[in-house]
Amino acid sequence: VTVGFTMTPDAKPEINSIRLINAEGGTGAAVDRAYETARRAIIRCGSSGFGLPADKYDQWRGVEVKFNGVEVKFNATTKEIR
Amino acid sequence: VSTLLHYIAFCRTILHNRLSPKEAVKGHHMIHRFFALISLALLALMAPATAQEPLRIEIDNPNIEPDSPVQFSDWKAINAQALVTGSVSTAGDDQIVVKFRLFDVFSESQLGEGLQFVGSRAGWRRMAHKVADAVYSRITGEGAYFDSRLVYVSESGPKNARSKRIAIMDYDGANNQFLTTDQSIVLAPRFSPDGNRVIYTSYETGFPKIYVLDIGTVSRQILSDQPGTMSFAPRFAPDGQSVIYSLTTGSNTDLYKLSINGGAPQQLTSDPTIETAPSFAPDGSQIVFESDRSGTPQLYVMPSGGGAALIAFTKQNRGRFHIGVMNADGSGERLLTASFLDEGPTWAPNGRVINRANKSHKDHHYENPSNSRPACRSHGPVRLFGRAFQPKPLGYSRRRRRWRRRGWRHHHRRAGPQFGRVLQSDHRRPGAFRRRHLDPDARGPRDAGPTGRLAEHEPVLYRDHRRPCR
Repeated sequence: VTVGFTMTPDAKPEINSIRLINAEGGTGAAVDRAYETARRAIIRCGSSGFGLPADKYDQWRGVEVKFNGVEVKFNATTKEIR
Repeated sequence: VSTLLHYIAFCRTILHNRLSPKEAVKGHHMIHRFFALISLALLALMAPATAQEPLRIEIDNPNIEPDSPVQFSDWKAINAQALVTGSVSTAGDDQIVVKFRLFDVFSESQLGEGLQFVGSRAGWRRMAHKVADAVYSRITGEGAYFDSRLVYVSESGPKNARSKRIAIMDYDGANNQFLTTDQSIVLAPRFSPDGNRVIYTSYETGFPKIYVLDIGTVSRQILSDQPGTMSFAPRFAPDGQSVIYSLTTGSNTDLYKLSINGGAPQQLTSDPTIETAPSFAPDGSQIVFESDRSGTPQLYVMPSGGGAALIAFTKQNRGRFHIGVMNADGSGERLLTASFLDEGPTWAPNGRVINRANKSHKDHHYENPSNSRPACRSHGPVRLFGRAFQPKPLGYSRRRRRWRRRGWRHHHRRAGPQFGRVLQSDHRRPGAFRRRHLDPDARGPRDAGPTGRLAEHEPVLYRDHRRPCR
């Protein structure tokens, strides 16, 4: 899913602006679920601002995030510390 | 497009009007202005369009491996200057593998080669500090100090029953370990250059004596045990083979040198006054020490060969304590801190950072015998900004030095980024800059002094000033 939103000058996402732009593959219900998850992630991560430089507001005022699950792998044999 | 149109218009001016190229150039200036205006208008139209283009991010793989391509434009957008990518994974039963790469975001290039550390699980903190060390030294080009340890005196208990122990800890305060019991007063611990031994003063026998403690085995031995004397303020020589210290016999204190493996001590000073707190220059050629031979405590340098060094010291002035540094010849004194109590400056191994013991005024209120709360004394690093603090060759004339200092102050007040502008606005020496241009051959060495000095030193100073936090 590709989710678009705009940000306030203090680098917080404007919740009303979060919208689904595009979706590829998957049924309507799966798309809805992926979009809702992405929306929650954006709101939760941005609740206290993303800490972006104010002088480049033009560059990050509008954001489009493409959440692509194709390469997400779950490898149970090697445990990784992050 | 604008350039191409330019060229076509220029050729047409020549062909159609049958002008000489010189006249054509004159006419061309108007066309030039015309196209410049058009270009500006085009830019003005295009600017809002580019500004409204949203920032597009694709989140496809949550694992950024050291070998993944780096999206430099994303990191530039958030003003990141350097980027470390890496991974930590386990291998075998008790091994972790740390891989990382360091990138310079603005030049879009990798700094050095990717590194991999393999170690035991228990040593993960050490490996993290090794990575920090590698990043620090690649960015600054200097030795790092994150994978280093501090030795200090741990104080606990109320003031009238204070117990003191020698302890070591990592640079960031972790892995604290006590090396002595709290039975006797201990003072001024110092690492040996290889970091395996600690030398300190203890009142175990009732009199101050110097002890050498092996960190690995936590076993200690007395260094010099001459009956009826007191020995204190020990420091290792840079080669770790000998120790300099103060020895008091009767009422006189002098400096002595002793091999770590024993032997007879060698007397370095013989004055009726108190000579103490000796310390070697990094190259071992000079010794700085404190003496009251002039009537008040002053620092002296014992010349034993050439070389210049920086001296860190504690200064008390109008009831406040300062940590300062100065050149070995006493010039260039600069106070780095000012607080209620700052003392005991020591150098980080790379010579760029000083660590000192600090006590704030607030803590002092807690330090009275009726209050059982121990005074809080913290350690904290002081960074030395700018290469102006580095050793400078001695032997420049006094006149030149004065000019350099004036340049320094002037530069600081104006803080102008343009070096040439600072020179031109130097009201104390009008004309110096212009004279240099008009009559370069006739200018004497005196005029060359100030301009030459400034040009040599200020850009370095300015560059360091711009990146104070490392």
